[in-house]
Amino acid sequence: MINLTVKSNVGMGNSDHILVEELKQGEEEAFRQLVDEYQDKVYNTCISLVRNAEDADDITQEVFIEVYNSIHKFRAESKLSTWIYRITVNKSLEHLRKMKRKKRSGFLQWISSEDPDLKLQIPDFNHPGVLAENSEKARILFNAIEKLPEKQRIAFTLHKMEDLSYEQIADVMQKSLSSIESLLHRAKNNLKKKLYAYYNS
Amino acid sequence: MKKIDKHIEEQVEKTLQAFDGMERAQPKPFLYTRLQARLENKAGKVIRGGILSPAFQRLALIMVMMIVVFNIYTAARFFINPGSAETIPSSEQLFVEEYYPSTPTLYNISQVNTNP
Repeated sequence: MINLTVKSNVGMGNSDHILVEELKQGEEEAFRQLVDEYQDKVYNTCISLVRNAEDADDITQEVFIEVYNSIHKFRAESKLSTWIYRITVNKSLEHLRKMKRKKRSGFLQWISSEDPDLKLQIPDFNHPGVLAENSEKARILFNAIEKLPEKQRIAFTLHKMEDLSYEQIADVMQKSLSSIESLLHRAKNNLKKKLYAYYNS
Repeated sequence: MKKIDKHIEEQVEKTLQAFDGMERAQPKPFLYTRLQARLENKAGKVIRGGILSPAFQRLALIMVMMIVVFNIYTAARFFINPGSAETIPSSEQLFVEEYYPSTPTLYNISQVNTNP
């Protein structure tokens, strides 16, 4: 889990500063502006990490509620977008852990059940933005990404889907630039290995 | 063999590029309105959550049931065996006990000893 209160080295822009001050004063219009500005980033990060449109929509709302409730804790030393990305990643990871726990208990129910029709369902994810001709390959790639270790998965998703720079990813994940470079390098190598194994089988 | 390897390599490279040209996904419409409703709902829950929470209701029910059981038990004891119930002495009895005690007190004993 990423610590939400640790400072970032990147300073906050002037427009962000005004928006944050207005949010701290509880101005509704500022909150509306924030939602308009960040809903695309938040939703797309969520959907790439949790791989379910309904859940992503729900987590997006949770992220904005968290922002609304804890804006007074936000420190001006970090970028607003960095902070929001951090909350988004944390909320998505929380959701995935919850799902894993549910799946585990579901599996236990399944193995103890005598009903032969009750089967475990592992859904395949089709990202709504993927081009039609790439949909099958995108599905295979999403499945391979899901099998990456957590940190590699987050770094790869933020880089590939959100187009964040290495520096921005380092700020969001609160890691050094070199460790992000290393994470992404390992993520790409692992993905290649998994894809080779997939096509070889 | 080399041909197969090359084919797989191509597939892997193409798969890694599957996200290229991808459009952004859109959340369901009226996100802000749904968000507002959820915030209002949460605020209401915080206010009502204290005394109307299921945990509080369960605790209150258990306490009421304990009081009812205790009352029934006490009443049953009283009606089944009324003689055994403790009786509160009347004010007259208290007066008699104070001024004409059935057992000698220190005051009575000293009076007895001073008489020649």
